Amino acid sequence: MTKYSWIAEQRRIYTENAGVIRDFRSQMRTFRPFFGWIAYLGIVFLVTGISYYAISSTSNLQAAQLQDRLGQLFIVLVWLLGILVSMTTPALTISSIIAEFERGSIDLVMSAPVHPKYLLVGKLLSAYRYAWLLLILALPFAATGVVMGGFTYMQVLQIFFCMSLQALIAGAVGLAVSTLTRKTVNALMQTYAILFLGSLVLSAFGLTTILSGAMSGTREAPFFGLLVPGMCLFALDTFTRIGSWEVPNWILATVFTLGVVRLLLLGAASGLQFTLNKEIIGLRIGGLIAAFLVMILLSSGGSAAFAGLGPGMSVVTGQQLAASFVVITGLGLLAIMNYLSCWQFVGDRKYLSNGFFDPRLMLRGTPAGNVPYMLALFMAALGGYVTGGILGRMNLDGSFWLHMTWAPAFWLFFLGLGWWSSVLNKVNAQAARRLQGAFLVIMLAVSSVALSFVQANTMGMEIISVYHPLAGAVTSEANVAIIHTSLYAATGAVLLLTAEMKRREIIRSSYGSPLP
Amino acid sequence: MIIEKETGRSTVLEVQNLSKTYGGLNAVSNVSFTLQPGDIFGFIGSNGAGKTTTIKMISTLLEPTAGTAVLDGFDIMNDPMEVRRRIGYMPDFFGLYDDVRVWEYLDFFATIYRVPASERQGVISNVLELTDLTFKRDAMVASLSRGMQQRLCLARCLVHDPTLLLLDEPASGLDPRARAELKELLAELGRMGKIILVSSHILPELADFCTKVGIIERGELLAFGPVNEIARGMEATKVLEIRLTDRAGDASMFLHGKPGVNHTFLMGASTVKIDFSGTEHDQVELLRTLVTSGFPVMDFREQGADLEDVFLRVTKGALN
Repeated sequence: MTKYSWIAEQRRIYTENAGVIRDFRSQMRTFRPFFGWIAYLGIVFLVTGISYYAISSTSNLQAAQLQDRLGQLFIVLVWLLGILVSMTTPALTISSIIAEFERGSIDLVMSAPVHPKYLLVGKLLSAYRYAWLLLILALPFAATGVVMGGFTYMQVLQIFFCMSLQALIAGAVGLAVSTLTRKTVNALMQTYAILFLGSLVLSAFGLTTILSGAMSGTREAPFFGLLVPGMCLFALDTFTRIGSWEVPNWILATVFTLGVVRLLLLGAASGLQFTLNKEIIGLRIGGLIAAFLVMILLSSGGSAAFAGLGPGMSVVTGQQLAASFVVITGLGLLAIMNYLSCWQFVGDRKYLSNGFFDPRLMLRGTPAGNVPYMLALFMAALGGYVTGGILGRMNLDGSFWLHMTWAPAFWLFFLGLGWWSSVLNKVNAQAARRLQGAFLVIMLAVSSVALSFVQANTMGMEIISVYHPLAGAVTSEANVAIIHTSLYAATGAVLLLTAEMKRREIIRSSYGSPLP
Repeated sequence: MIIEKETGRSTVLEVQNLSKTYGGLNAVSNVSFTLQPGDIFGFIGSNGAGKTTTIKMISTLLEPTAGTAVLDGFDIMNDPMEVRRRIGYMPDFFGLYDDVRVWEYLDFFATIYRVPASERQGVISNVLELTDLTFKRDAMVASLSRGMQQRLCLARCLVHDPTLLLLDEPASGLDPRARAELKELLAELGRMGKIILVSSHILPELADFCTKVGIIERGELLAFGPVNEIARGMEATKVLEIRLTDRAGDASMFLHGKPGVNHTFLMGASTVKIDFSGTEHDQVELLRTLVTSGFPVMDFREQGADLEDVFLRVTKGALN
């Protein structure tokens, strides 16, 4: 493709997208959207009105106190807008893709000479435009923050921009999920669960770091604070230190958002196609690059928060760095391992069992390439983390290498569970994913509850946390760490080996075909 | 085979050993056929025989387990985008966006098929005229009758002037008038030089206008070719029907024992049917003899094979 045809193609996708035009025509045709906007503005008016009433009914306020209260009113508004916009955007993307499947029009579009990206970008841009429409509608309310709360219009614009980034990510998550499930209710539940858990974790880590930074007089904070609904107000002027550079977080947040959206769109595009496709290769290469870069950012800037050291603390020991590494890789793998580790005996070729371990298929997206890809992803993450650690002059001593091995061992064990789930569910990969997912949820729930009952700094906590998919490797005892890591690795290997033997037996007895 | 002057590519559809396997189930096995411009190909089979799977593989929506199909020299596996530019696919459901107007629906597809913006309105007008929907141009898609929706779906397939039309059960659920209109429309498209592959399990709807048929059962293409040729291939004999203004009984006696004539049957006062196994030359001689002998022959023709009979006989072995 020449440079000019590439430009023409990008223009066709982003500025002349038929899907965006079609959605705009149907969205604006009737009075239905107006009722939606009135309801939306009604909620905003109700919440801000109640807050304003509470302030105005308080007597004997000094001028400074009054402005502080009015500032809080603006905070409530930002929080509310963030939630409403982030909730609305994925609902639009999910319903649009699933409606394509329900009415059968997806086949018509996919038999046309367009890549899935064209369709997906159209859906996402429609939803993103709608998010901006909602934000602009709320501008008169936001102006109260400028008139009465001491904020500037530039800050309002920055906040709106951050909220639009949140909406973009939420919409892209909705698109990715909607290509993997065919029922609206399921897709809505999965999408909101992902967004809710993601926001919860990131806001917990981000808020502690931002507040602790504010207390200690620095505005250094993780950039993802800008991407959590309601939190962006506190993180507007923060920065991330990469080596000796202080990079404004809004730049990192924008780059991060575009990267994440690109990966999610590639995931959605590969999920949308029935055949093995080049989007899978793009997705996998992109995943490796993203793992490397994100880990550099997080390890150089936000490890203290992930290590759970609390406000104002910095990472000092190799074991604390390892704990931070385990949490970050755990969060990433939590999102994708369910898809990487399950396969099926019949159906579309990309999910079809085609072997146990084949590094040549690492980027192709077939089951035989999944274990090699998981290892490559892990190595990329480790490389990024170590690079970030070196840039941040952190202490990557022997205890880091000892404790961080918990992560690959645990996820090998989880991979083994996925293979057994696939062997047990001969119907399709989705059923296998549900079984494996249920096991993970049980592990998360039981170990989280158990952890809440034991006191910190006890052996009980160390042992229970080993079974927590996000909180392993906290033990301070080297021997205990070695034992748990070895147990997970050995169990994972046994699960994989036995599942592979069972897979071969099933193929031989049921299909009589040569083993792939 | 027609060769395009500019590209040197052949304008035919060649399906080569197309197969699709789901686990141990062979949905389609080694299906092969070739179609040329103007061919209207009736793809016949019971429900679940493999028609839709075959059509989906040709339309690049499903990946073949083995084999391939080549359209205008472009392979469905290697050049799916080029193949998609040349096909118009109509599934067995309409897949219409019901919240837009008729012209907006066509405009959407004209855009994704890269019809230049300056030509779009003209193209939309043309396909609406061809499908007799001009008067519904500004109507909402949801307000159209089923027959009209089906014609709109066909209009959508035509916005980019495809070489090949893949129509999966296009007439299901239509009333007799809508079916007749559809047949007329497909015949017209065939005359325009398009290759049309139309699948159905309702045989009478295909018998009238298909130039070729393929009979598929349990994933295997059991027969392919013109209906009469398939019927002839199944039997050594054919039926000739002769209508006379008078003396049908004498003609029946006269024809008895002539070369190729096995049996004669007197059908009423003016018609004779012959069970004939002779060559084409024998058939010509038979007519000449009748006329020169003074019989008042009004009509002399080979009776067309009944598609339903052909289908039942071809699939008898496969279904048992």
